[in-house]
Order: sequence, then C-alpha cells, then structure tokens
Amino acid sequence: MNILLVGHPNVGKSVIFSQLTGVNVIASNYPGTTVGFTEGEMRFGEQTAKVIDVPGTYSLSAPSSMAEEIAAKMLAEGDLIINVIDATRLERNLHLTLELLEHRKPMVVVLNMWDDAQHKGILIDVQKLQNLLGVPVIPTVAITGEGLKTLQESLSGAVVPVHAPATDEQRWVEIGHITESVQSLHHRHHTFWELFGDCCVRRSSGIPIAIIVLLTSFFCIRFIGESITKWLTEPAFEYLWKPFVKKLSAVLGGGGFVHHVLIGKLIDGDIDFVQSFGLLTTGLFVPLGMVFPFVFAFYLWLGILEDVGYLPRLSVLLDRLMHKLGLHGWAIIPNLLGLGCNVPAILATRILEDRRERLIACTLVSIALPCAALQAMIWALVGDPARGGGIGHVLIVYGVLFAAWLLIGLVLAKILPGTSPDLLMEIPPYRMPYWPIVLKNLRLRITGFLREAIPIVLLGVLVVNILYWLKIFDTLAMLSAPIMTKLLGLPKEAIIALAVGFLRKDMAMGLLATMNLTIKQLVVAGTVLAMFFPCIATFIVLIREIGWRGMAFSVAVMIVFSLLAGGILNAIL
Amino acid sequence: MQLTESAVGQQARIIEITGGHQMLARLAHMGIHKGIKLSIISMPIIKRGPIVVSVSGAQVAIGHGMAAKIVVEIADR
Repeated sequence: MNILLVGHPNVGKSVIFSQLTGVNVIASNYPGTTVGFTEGEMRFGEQTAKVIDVPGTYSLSAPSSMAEEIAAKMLAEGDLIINVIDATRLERNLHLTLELLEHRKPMVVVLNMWDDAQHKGILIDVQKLQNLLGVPVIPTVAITGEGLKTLQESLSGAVVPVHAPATDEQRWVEIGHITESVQSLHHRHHTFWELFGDCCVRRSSGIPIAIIVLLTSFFCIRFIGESITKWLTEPAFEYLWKPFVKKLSAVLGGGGFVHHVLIGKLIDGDIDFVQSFGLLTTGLFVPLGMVFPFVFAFYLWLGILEDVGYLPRLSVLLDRLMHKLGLHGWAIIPNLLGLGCNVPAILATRILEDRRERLIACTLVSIALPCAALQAMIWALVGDPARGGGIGHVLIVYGVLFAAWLLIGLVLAKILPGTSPDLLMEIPPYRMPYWPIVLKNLRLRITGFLREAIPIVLLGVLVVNILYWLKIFDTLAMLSAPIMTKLLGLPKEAIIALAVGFLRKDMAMGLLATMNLTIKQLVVAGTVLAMFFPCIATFIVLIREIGWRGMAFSVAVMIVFSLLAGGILNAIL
Repeated sequence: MQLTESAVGQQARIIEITGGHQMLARLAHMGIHKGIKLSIISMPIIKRGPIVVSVSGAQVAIGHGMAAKIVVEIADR
C-alpha cells in the first residue's frame, strides 16, 4: 500500500512525513526542498504502509520543472493520497486539490499551519469544506504534531471522491464558491514581519538589507567556525589525542612503512597534525579538527536563513543578475547550497525549469563554488600568518572564484542556445526560526558530512601514503611538470594534490600544506584546486543529473577556466 | 495597462493575460488568472527585474517578461 503526500511547495509535507514515519528529512521555509522523493513506513491498521513524500507541485497537468514532473508521474503509484494544504492560503491551494479529486483515489485533505491561519484571522469551516470536497478534512499543526493522530486515524476512512473533470477556468469558479462559503477573514494590522518582508524586496531597502545579511553571514560563519577550532577541536587533538599517538609512534620505532601510513612524517621529531599526513594524525585532524567546525557553522547559519524565509527574497533581488548568467533568481538557492557541499546543490538544480538552465547551474556550482570543507582549509592555510598569508590572500581566492563564476555564466549564457525563462515563484512568509527544525536539519547535514568525509579522507590518506612509498607519484609529477611549473609556478609535486582533490578537496589542500609552498603558490594552488575536477561524489551526481554529454561539456569549460585562472594569478601576483 | 506599469501599493485587477497556453497554465496554478485582484508589493530594483505581488494571501514574484504580458486595470480598494 502506497500513501502519497501531495501538495504545493512549502506547505509542510516534509514535516508531516517525518512525523508520520519517524524518518528524518530536511525541511525548510522555501519551496523546493524535496526534489527527489523520500520513502518511509508507517503503521496502517494491522499492516505497514509505504509513505512517499512527493516533491511540491502546483499542478499535475502542466509540470514546469523536473521536480513537478516527478510528482505527476508518482501519482500513478499511489493507493491513497494525503493532500496537504496551507490553511493560510486555502484559495490558491484548492486548485491542486480539485485536480487530485479528479483522479478518483482515496483521499484525505490536511489543513496544515492551522495555528498560523488563526493568528492571521482566517477562519475556515472544516465541516462545510469536508462536505463540499467529499473527503475527510483534518486541521493540523505539523511542527508541533497537533492533529496528526487524528490524521492517522482518518486514513482508514479516506473516501474515493466523486468529482467530474473540469477545465482550469471552471475550477477557479468552483474555488471561488468554496472559499466564499467556508472561509471568513477578520481584518487585522500588518505584523512587523510582514512589513519587514516587504522591505526586503523593495527597491530602496532591499539591496542594503541583502548586503548586511551577506556580510553578517560571512563573518558569523567565520567567527563560529574559528571559535570552535580554537577552543574545542584544536585543544582536544593537542592535549587528548596527541599523547596517545606519540606513544604509538614510539612503539612503532618512529619510522618504517606502518609508521609512514599511520603516523606519517615527524616534523622536528614531533607530530604535526597538519603536516605529518598519517591516517591517525592528519587523516583525522583535517575532517574533525579543521573542517567540521566550519561545516557546522555554515549549516547552522544556512539553516537559520532558510527557516526564516530570507532566501526567496534574495532570489528576487538577484533575478536580474542571474538572468545575465542564463539563469533566473531562483537559481541562487542551488548556488548557495554549493558553498556547503556541491552534491546537494547539484540535486537542487532540479527546481530549475529547463535543461539549459540546469546545465549552466551545475557547471557553475561544480567549478566556481568551493564547498565548506575546502573553504575551511583555504582559510586555515592561505589565511595563516605563519605561512605569510592573511585575510587579503583569502579574499584574492574568493575574488577570483567569484569572477570565474560570473564570467563562466556570462559565456555559457551567450554560447548555449535558448533563453532563460522568467522567474515565477511564491515567496513564503517570514517567521521566527523554529529551533527544533533548524537543529534537526543541522544534525542531518552534519552526520551526512561526517559519514561521507571521514571514510573518504582516511582512504585518500592511505592511498596517497602507499603511492608515495611506491614512488608512483614521481612519474605523474614528471609528466605534468610543464603545466605545473611553467604555467602555474607550482612545484611539480603539486599535481599530486590536484589528483587527490578528485577524492576530497579538503584533504588535497592538506597535502599542499606539506609541500612548503610560498604564499603566492598557496593562493594559486588553492584557486586551481577549487576550480579543477570536482570531487568524486560531485562527479557521480553530475553524470546522473546532466548526463555524459553535459558532463563532458562541463569538464571542458572547467579545464579551460581553471588553467586560465591559475595562469593569470601566477603571472600577476 | 501592463502590470509592469503599476506602482507599489496599488490594487490591480487582471483583465487579460496575453501569453501562450503554457504560461497561462503556470500563472493560473500559482493563483494568477483573469479576474483576480492583486496588490503590488514591490517593483523591480533594477530595470526589467521581477515584480512582487500579493494574491489571495500569498506573495508571488513574477519575472519581467511575464509581468509585461499581464494586462490590468487599477481596482478600487
């Protein structure tokens, strides 16, 4: 038995899904969070039923993005439909409801955000609505769980609706009648949040607010990340972990193959967590000590911005700019996600309308947007005064990447045939961050990061150490020496870091740290590493999402632009 | 007049939408169709940017190209 959760984007389907099944999924305050579909199970009478969280859709008849296409296709597989409606926006939600009724499958309607509706002075006569639609109607507040028990009980009473097919126009007439007879509005004043929301998209106030938000984000993420490193992860490694590893090093006799793999090189007779490059030293310190704090800070901040509802407003502001890059404002969401991790960012491009846009967005994300893990390492190395770096050098890297992002977008918009479609997007209301959701999203993303990063970093360190031991890298370095030394001004061994970057970029940056580079070389190498081949996880989703041909195109653009950027930096710095 | 010629704070009623079938359907599913009343929340920041309107309790951003194809009349409050 398949139970489908169907509704407009951003009505709380994912929260209801989590509540019904206990499966955790990321929920946020903007449309399009669920771009694939998620399955879970729930008790249904004596048996278990499969619950499917269908991507949000406005319509079944005219899908306008890949996410909506998925939704329309999935409907055929459902045995029971739970249609989730935002009670504060009854009228506009009913169009999809009427379309669903015509499918003649057992159905229950959920009026979610019932508390918000009451606060807004919207009264809905549930009994009357139930009579008019001919299926059970259940008011709920999904985030607190209110009404969900009633919903579960009502599922066995789901009725197959009797509803004649109609045209769009006929449906709107019917919706007019329904809302008029079941809904009454009480006048009330605009709230502070509503007024502030309007300010964020207006001409005079929107841009200053956006600049403040972005600058605050930048510095808060850095501050939180650095504080955790300084007060938590570095002391933990230095005082708790180091004594143990030192003993192990002594037991292993301070050298030999096993020591080389587990501990790595001793720097002046001591263990250096950045430079030793063993499994138990750098292999653990990079993901846990250096990258984790930054990833934590980034996702905490992103989670708050998401839940408050700022991001859709940002996309209205940036629509014009994004059009120049062959995209529209909405595409800012995958691009921002890309600064966390490229994989979910590339999946999120499914919210875009056509193939051309998706190809551009995927290419931009995979080339010009450094993930949080890599950014953490860039900050740690390029921004390290001990290596002659500082905030200025870090900003050079960011500046070049941003310029590349703009330039690649402009070029692709010119050379790819077609035009970018117009923005058409619902803007969610502002609200105070709802902490249980923010924290749950954070936990999901962090565990995702740890589960993904640690094994691959360890594997990478192992492979690198074995290949070093066997001197296989020497051949690779010889072959690529002309490009590395002549064009980029890097030692020929730097190719090893670029090759390792295919596994994980943060580890590749860690490898560069062992090579005694000058600050100029670090800036060049960091920038090229960020733009050069995406890591393997990104590579796999890219192929899945834009196909081999799209991928080949992306890679060609990537090789040209990364060597160009590195060469120019090397020439002018 | 076109929706792009209205001003912030105005109430407008849609008289006609002069786009293709696909565009009409997309707008309709967002609750924007002939006869409905909009209020204008914001006009574009830069020329040819999107317009934000409030329609039946929700705010919707409409790109410039689409907005130019929506014909409205100013409605009384």
